Amino acid sequence: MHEFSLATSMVDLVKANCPEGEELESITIEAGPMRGIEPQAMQWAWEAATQHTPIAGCKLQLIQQPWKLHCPDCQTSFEADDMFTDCECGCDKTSPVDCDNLRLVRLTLKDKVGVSDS
Amino acid sequence: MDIPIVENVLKLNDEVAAINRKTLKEAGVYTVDLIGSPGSGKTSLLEATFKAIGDKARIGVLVGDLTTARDATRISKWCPDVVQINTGKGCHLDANQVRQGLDRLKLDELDILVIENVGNLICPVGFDLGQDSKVGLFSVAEGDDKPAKHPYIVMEAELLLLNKMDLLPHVTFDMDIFKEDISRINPTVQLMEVCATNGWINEWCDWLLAKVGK
Ligand SMILES: Nc1nc2c(ncn2[C@@H]2O[C@H](COP(=O)(O)OP(=O)(O)OP(=O)(O)O)[C@@H](O)[C@H]2O)c(=O)[nH]1
Ligand SMILES: [Mg+2]
Ligand SMILES: [Zn+2]
Repeated sequence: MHEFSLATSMVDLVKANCPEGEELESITIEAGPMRGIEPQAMQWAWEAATQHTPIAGCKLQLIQQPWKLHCPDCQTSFEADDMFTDCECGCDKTSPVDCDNLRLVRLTLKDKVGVSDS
Repeated sequence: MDIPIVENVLKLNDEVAAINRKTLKEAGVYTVDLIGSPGSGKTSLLEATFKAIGDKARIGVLVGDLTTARDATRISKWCPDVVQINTGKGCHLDANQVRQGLDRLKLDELDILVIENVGNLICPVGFDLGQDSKVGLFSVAEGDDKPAKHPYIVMEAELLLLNKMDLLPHVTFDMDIFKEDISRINPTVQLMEVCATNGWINEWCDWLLAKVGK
C-alpha cells in the first residue's frame, strides 16, 4: 500500500503550501505510469490520510499520465498507452522517458461566501 | 481559485535522503539499496556475500522487515554491524527510517552498506534513501515477465541480479524474453546471473568490491 505513504506525504506538502485562512476545494496530482498508482486505492488512502486534519474534505484530482517513449532511431518522443509500443518508423527499441513524475501541480481554493467580485 | 504550483510529492523524503547521502559520503561508505520481491533471495545473497568477501571489505547491513527480526538474526551470524528496521505496515523503507538506522551504525568503520529493503518490487523504488545505487533482485522462480510488470525498478537500477539460476531447468522461464524486456526498458542496466545458495555470486562480489576500490 504505497498509496498510503504517498497520501501522507501529500498531506504534509499541501499543508505547507496552502495560504493561511483559505479552505481547499481540491488538489491536483500528476503521476507518471512508472509510479504504479492504483487510482481507487489512492482515493481511499487520501480520504484516510486527510481525515481529522485541517484539510479533511479536500478532494484529490489524480491525473495519470500516459507512457512517454523515446525512439533511439529517429530520436523522437511520443505518448502511448502501453509501455511496449513500437515507433511509427518501425523501431521496436523504444524506451520510457520521464515516466516517474509525482507532482503536486495545483491547489484549488473554495470560493469565500459573501465576497463578491463587484 | 486555482493556485498553480509544482512540487515533488516526495520532497520531504528526498530532503532527508540528501542528508543521508552526505553523511554516507563523508564516512566513505558505498551504499546499495537492494530491492526484490518477497523471497527472491535478498537475505541469502547477503549471507553468501559475507561468506565470499570475508575480510576484504567491511560491510554493514540495514534490514527493513514488516514485523520480524528473522533476517537480522540470520545476517548477525556473519556481521556485527546489522540494524533491523521494522516498518510495521509500511511496504518500503523511507529516508527517515534509514536516517535513524544510520545513527546506530559505526559508519567510519564500514566500507559498504547494504540496505535490504522490504520485499516488494514497486513501493520501495520511488523512495530515495540516500543510496549510491539501487540493485534489483529477480529470481527465475518468479517468472520471466517480472521486468515487464515492474518496470520502475528496471528503470532505476544500476545493476539487476537474476537469482536462483540453479532452478532454471525446473521452471518455465524464457531468458530471451526476460533480457529483451529489460534492455527495452533500460538499455544501459547491467544484468548478472547468480545463485545465492550455492555461492555462485563472484561477479556481484567483484562489482561491489570495485565500487570501493578493493
Ligand atoms: N534454489 C535456490 N533457492 C534460493 C536461492 N536463493 C535463495 N533461495 C531460497 O529462497 C527462499 C527465500 O530466500 P530469502 O533469502 O529469505 O529471500 P528474501 O528476499 O530475503 O525474502 P524476504 O526478506 O522475506 O522478502 C529461501 O528458502 C532460500 O533458501 C538460490 O539461489 N537458489
Ligand atoms: Mg530477507
Ligand atoms: Zn522512430
